[in-house]
Amino acid sequence: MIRFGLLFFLLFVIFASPLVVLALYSLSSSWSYPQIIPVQLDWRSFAYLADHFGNIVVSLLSSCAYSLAAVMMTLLMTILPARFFAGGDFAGKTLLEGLLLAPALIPPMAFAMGAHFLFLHLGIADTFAGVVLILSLYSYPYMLRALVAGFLAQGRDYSLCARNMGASSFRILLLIEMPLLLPAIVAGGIIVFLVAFSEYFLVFLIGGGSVPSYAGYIFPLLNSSDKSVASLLTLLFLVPPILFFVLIDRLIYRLYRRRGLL
Amino acid sequence: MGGRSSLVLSLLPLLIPFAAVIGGGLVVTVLQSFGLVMYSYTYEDMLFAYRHLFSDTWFLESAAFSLYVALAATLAAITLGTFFSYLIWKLPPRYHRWTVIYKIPLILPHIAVGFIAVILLSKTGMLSSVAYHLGLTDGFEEFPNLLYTRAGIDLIAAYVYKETPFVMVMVYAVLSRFDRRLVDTAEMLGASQLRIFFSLLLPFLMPVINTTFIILFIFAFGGFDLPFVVGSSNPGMISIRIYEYFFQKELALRPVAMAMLTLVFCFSLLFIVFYLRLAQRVEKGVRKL
Amino acid sequence: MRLFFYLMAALVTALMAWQSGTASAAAVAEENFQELVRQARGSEVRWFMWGGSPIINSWVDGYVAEELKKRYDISLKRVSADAAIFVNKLLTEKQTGRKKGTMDLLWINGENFKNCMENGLLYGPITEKLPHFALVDPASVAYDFGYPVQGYEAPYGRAQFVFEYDGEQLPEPPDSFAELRRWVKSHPGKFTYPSPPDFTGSAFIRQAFYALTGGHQQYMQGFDRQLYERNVAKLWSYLNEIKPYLWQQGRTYPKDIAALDTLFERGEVLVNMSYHQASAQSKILQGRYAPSVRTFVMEEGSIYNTHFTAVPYNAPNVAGALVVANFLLSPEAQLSKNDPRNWGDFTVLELSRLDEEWRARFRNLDLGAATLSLRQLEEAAVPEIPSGYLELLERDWEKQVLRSR
Repeated sequence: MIRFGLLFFLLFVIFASPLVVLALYSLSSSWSYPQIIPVQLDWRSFAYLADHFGNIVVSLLSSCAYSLAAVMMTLLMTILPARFFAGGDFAGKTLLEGLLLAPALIPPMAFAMGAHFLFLHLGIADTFAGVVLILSLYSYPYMLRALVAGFLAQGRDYSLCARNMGASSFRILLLIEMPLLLPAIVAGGIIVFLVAFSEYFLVFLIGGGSVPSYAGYIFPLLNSSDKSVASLLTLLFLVPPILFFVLIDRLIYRLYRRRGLL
Repeated sequence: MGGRSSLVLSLLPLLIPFAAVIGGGLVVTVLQSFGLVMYSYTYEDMLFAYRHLFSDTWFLESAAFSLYVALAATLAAITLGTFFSYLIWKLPPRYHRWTVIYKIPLILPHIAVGFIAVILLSKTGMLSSVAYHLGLTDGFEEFPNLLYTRAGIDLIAAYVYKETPFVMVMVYAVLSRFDRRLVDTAEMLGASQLRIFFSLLLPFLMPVINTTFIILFIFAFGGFDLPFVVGSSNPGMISIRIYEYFFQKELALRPVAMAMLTLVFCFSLLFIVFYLRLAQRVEKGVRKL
Repeated sequence: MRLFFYLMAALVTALMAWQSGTASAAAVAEENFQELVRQARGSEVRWFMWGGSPIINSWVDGYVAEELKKRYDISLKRVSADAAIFVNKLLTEKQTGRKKGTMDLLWINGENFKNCMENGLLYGPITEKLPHFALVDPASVAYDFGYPVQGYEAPYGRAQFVFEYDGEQLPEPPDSFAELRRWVKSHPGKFTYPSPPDFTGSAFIRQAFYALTGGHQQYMQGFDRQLYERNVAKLWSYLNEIKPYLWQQGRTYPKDIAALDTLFERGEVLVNMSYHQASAQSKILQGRYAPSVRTFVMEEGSIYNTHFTAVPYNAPNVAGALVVANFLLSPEAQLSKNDPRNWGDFTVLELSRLDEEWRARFRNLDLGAATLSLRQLEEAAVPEIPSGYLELLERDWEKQVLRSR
């Protein structure tokens, strides 16, 4: 218990306390050295929020929608390749795996301008589908890695057993591997969601302003000197992902209980 | 599963969009770095952009600075993150859910983390105010420069804040599949905690640590968002230079940005290959022991 | 005889037609504009602009959007992005031959406008289609950073460079470049400027360039490399002379104006700058600056520029975009924009072209104690430099000042 208390305190100070500072900033109009808390409270940032509420909600919902779609899309794209990579060694595996990790690593601009060129020809530039596709291509490596790790950790015993009993590949994937893979899917899915949710440049470039995004909405404000509005909108950024996590958490808990795994 | 061809077939859902979008996009980048398909501009010297880069020292200085920041930040984040996830894993399971607060920075976009770094680290910022009230300094003039310096403290701190939770998620996901009975057995046999961590858990974690290291290192090396907000303007991260050449200078200088992107891309590929090879060799060495 | 009569009649008719044509050019424009208004009714206009200022965002989303809805049934959608980024996007669309884009109206000027013109990215000329453009002195907006506008962008606001200081902490601000040098040396660490190519930092060195090399006149005839090379050394030696006395000993500079604003707001530096004459006043009204903050301009002059709206070549809603551009030029919108509580951006209208009532309204506008009077600003006003100089100054600053040891 004491160990837990200490660890919790440490995690709080390192990871959560900056949010307290943001909360204070969103309530202040001016705040200068060496005040620990702002002397003057005001509601300017909340007034901004109220004035622009419609736009802010629309952009938040749109961001959630394309981020969730990107999670589904990356899962579809990577589940079979992940099983393949976990399956065994072959010549050039390292190289291929490294290459397929590339999109998450290189600056997105390296391929984004060319991709935009391509999307224009395909007619999916400035559309929701285009945004989902580019975000999936940028973020699938996280899903791929999580799934490969998941497949490796679960071993091949269960699926081998099922195969010996005559189950088809598809049934094995759906009924045995997927449920066992759930923690990995969740881990990968959360990261994909977050990467997509906080991406600004790609969404703007491919979405062309036709697809609203919250990151796009607050990006210029974060780079401005109005700390008060920026702080409040940053805090707002946390709301949808946290709701999403809580939901997933509950869902998985229930699922595992029903299957008697917990 | 029937044979090799169906195995290759299973790669297709990934390979097709990858080749089309990422591959196609990269080809355009490389071509433009040689001054080709550059809209209405033509270049007599195909290597003009590369010559421009190496005609002065700023490019190499920026590359060295990016390397330093990425290495320092990634090492710190990996160490901290692995350590924290180990501590959490060791807690009784009923406490685990309370530790989710560590995921907060994961949700924040990089630019927001940079924004927080400015608020906390500036000479008149939060930390400085706290130092003043604790009697450590008599005024902000005495507080050290942490922002926008050549030491890159602000960038490193922001990356560590942002990436440590990422390490924790990755490592913890693997750790949670580790068979605790092995630890119990080792304890019964009298192994120390330190020894259990280094000889039992760490080898099991190495694959995921390696992957995470690669992802974070290269991301920090070439990332765009954070250097927008914090970090020194001289020498400046390489990504800032790319942005300047891409968006802020004359269009005719676009190939220079593309050449930098090409070089960053080549460097990243080389890094991945060398790192994985090194990791494999180390792993084999361990197994032989 | 008869033939002569017919000829005369034809001539007279032709003359009359010609006469009425010139006399009612404005009327024709007005009629064409009414046609645009009809087409634009019920449509949506996407306006791409920099979105880093909450107060400007609120003015656009609030006043402008509401008025457009009320008057023309147009829904205005503001999309935030850096001008450099959307110009790039437009360029890619042009290269792939995309006939219908997503942007209807752009807020641009300077280098971005030049980039657009050189690549044929704009629809136009447009100013001749805007009835309210008649209220603008065309000569005052003929050039944008030295590049001929040719009617391809419509002016909608004017900004002038000022320095900001807190009168209580700094009773006598250094208001010439010689004075600034003395002051900086006696107050180490209390002054700096954003590193070019930041918009404001770049304007600061242009201003110093004018002041240290004998005024702006000589640069107005377009870019002259020899002149630049002859004069520029004075600028670098000045900037390097003050460098060790700047914030952080000049080893690094604030990334952008937002970073410098923060340093000033939190008291780390004593002098701030802004390419927006009323920004100090609006920050006082927001409670971010102390009420004792004031502004000043350099004796040697202060740069002003005009910002514009333009329509992309592939705008899906040209009619709507033109109606919006015209509305932004209306005396009502210009006055609302000029109020420091809304934004404080100066008007581009020539007041002598307005009727007495409107003139009085502009004159009686309370710009606030922190904003200099129109007369003071006008006396100091000097035009922007042609962009050839601008690009070289930004590029060489990096080599000559930032990285010089």
